Amino acid sequence: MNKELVSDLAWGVGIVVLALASSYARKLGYIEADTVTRIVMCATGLMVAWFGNRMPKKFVPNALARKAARVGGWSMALSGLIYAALWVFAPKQVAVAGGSAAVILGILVTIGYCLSLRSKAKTHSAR
Amino acid sequence: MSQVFKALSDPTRRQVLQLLRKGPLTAGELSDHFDVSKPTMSAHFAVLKEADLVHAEKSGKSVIYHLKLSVLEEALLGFVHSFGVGAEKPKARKEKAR
Repeated sequence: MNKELVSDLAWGVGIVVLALASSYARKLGYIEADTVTRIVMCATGLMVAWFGNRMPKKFVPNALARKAARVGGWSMALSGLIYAALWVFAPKQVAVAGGSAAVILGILVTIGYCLSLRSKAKTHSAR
Repeated sequence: MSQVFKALSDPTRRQVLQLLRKGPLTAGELSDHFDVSKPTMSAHFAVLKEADLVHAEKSGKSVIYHLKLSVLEEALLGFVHSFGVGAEKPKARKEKAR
């Protein structure tokens, strides 16, 4: 099987297993419900950071697409880390708002950069 | 990961990666920036390829190198570069008159 696909599946299965294990630990009374949420959300943030980290590694033949992958990778990796950190350390309300804002900002940066690249490419081809 | 550290430990290889940040370059264009023999440069390219930090693409008779760094590797390169870890910076060839 493709190595990339294995790591993608591992993340998916890992988060489900982590969620089930945390829920079980809560049922047994080892941790609180809030901690279960924080553990799963932190893992989700780390997953976003991991996929952002790998993004520039995916070889794309077009030079502009490669630039977009690099910027997208940086913005998603940083967004994911901020998301994970907020879910570990910040109050729940701040984690929800701040974490979501970080991920949305990361997506907007990527989209904005792609659009700027596209307009630059159009200007070049018009010359 | 040890291959990545090995690749980044050499200043010539780090400079190759810095040059590739601006865009893809052929092996010849990259070699022109350094005062070392072609076989030495080929060995450097091989180490970078082995560490999966660059992607080599054949185009006719020349080989075009593309940067292929993950975010973590890019951050590591920036960190190592700013602290100048390893030997001193390789002698760069004077820019050719165009």
